[in-house]
Amino acid sequence: MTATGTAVPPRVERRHRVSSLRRGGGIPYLLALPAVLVILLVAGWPLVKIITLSLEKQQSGKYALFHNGGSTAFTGLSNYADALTSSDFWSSLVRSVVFTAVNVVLSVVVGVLIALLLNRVSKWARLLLVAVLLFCWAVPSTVSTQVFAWLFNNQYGVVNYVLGKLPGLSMQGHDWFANPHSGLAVVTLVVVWGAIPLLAISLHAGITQIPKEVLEAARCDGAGPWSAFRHVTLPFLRPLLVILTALSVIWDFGVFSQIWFMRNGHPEPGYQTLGIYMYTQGVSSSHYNTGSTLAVLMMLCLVVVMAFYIRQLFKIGDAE
Amino acid sequence: MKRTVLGATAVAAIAATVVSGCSSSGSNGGGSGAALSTDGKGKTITVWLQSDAKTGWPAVVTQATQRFEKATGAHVKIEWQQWANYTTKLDSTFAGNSGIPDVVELGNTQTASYISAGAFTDLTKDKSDFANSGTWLQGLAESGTSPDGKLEAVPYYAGSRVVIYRKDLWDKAGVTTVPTTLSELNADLAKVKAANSGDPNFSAFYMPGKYWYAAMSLVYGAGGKIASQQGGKWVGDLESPQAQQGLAEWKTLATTYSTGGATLDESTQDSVMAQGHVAAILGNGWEVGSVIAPKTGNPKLTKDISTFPLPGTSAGHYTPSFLGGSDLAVPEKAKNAGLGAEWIKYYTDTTSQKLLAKYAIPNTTNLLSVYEKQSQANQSTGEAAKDTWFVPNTANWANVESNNILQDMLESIATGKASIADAAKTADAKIASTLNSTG
Repeated sequence: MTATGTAVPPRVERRHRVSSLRRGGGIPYLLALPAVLVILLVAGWPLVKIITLSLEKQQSGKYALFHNGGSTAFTGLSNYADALTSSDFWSSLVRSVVFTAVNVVLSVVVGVLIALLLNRVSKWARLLLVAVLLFCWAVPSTVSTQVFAWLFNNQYGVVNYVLGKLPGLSMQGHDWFANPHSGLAVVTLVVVWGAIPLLAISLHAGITQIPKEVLEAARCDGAGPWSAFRHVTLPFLRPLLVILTALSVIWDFGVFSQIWFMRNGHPEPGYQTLGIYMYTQGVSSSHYNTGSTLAVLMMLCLVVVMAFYIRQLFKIGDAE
Repeated sequence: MKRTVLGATAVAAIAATVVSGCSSSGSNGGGSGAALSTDGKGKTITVWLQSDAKTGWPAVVTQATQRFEKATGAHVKIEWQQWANYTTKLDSTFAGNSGIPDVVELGNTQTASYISAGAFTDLTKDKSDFANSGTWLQGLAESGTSPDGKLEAVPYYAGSRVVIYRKDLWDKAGVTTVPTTLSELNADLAKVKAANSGDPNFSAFYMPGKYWYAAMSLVYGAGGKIASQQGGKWVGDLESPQAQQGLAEWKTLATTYSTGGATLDESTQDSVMAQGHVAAILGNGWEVGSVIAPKTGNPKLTKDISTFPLPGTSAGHYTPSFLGGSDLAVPEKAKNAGLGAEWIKYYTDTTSQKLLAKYAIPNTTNLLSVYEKQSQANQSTGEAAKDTWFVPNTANWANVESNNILQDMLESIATGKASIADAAKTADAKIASTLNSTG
């Protein structure tokens, strides 16, 4: 993201200094060149390679990979036809979409609630909360996944132990991962837990920018807490919410390590979101052409979200 | 994350196309084979070994390396590897032309796909230079040989699985002799289970729901197979009555006598046993050490743990054990192929293997007695190593493993989601399409 930022020449200044631009030649472009080159190298080149791979024939053996630099005969779109006619692909896609929707809604809603809370509590409580949130944020997803896996362990996990103490509930040996839906719910907890710090802190920062007078005016006009939130806070936060939601969609659609480590590297079919499906079909099986095809399809899904995200960025920029 | 991996592969692949012009001029182009080389002055060879050796038998590595360095003047750099995602790492390395090690260790179920892809240097004409090559363990030797009989990987070590059990718990339940048939085992487990019925976490025999090495042992023991070739095509054989009988035996262990492991694999079974609520597991001989390990295990169990080979359907026969193990190979694109092969010679010679025999089953039947004398557990695993089974030795087998076909089948049986017949049918179809895949 920072690289893209520097790559855009400062438009306003250019207008004011037409003459200096003429004399100074392409200095701004020259300065942007390294960033553009880096992006081309680390993002553009693999992208070209992935698209090429996806158009080439998938061979079951690895001979071509080791001896011909991985290139096999072009087969047009047949890899795509294979992927799109596979029922496993569609069930993974549906699973990914539902999983993403649930995770994004939960993280944003809880994020907003915690941000509102941060604005109401006393200073020391806020400091404490922010510190705790930052600590949560600092925990790598592999570690938090392992911790949650232990919490939900069927024999010695603390969750079953605590739930078992409730009257009329026997959780002895209950296996959260036997049913992929309840297993993915546990994964959702880890993902949301990891997503909340950024959302809550950014939204809290957004809320502090709302002029106090506007809220006071609303209150004077007889607005209750809900309608103040609905008609003052929310409209102010809208640009921020849009961007955070779009980003969350991108992150949650690509969730990988939480599912992978929760299932100890062997995710059952019911746990295969698109990313996991691509990894097991492509990388684990050394079928890099199939994997690239799925990767391109996954990127296409995200392009839709990205287009929306970038449009909002421009819109917000224009408004300012 | 996937994009990065694919990206790395892609970049490596490009590097390969750019440099491939000069690779064929090397000493070992096109599988002509590399002669062992002792000319190593000023050279450094890179060896990829799995960390099993680092934690289990570092001294064996050191002494072989020292003798090799003295004899050749070359320097050896050992790079420790992890099994997780190892094939992905091998793929991207072999696709490139730089950073290729001179020796790699591979699991014996992984070799076939690399041999068929021409990833290794042909060592056929050096075979007699490797010690004990006439008496190598059959399962290991086969996994290192190409379908047309070329030696592409040298046997390193093997492992077999036995029942690791808590003698104290079995004694307390009134079981004082080791069972000699599977039905005796079941009767004994019933007694152990009954004697511990107060413990809700108790497993008379802890059998994780994804433990396919154990399940397939029972399948082979009942006379079944995973797959066979018919008219040049692979067919899944798990639906056969014999295989289903074996799966039924496994299901009894996994559901009647095991608690809590239905959705897990065997990787955590040692620490589960160390918790003290498990009276038996099926494990490699060295897992005894991991159950009683001072920090990660439970040293209090030391005097209570014993082992015996898993009995078979009738007395006098064991249930065949999976012959797991490792091979060592010289990558085709290795810069110092001759020296790499020479290092393998030292690391697999009788001196090294005798030392290794304290920790793992050596690569030759000649030294099995050395191994068995070491401990009670070695005695059992050595016995079990005499009757073994191996996966279908074909290039696509690795994908049956990486796609978790057997693990998914077993988990659906253990959790009761599918009947044995249905689960076996689904798995057979997947096995056939995977093994017959030509792309």
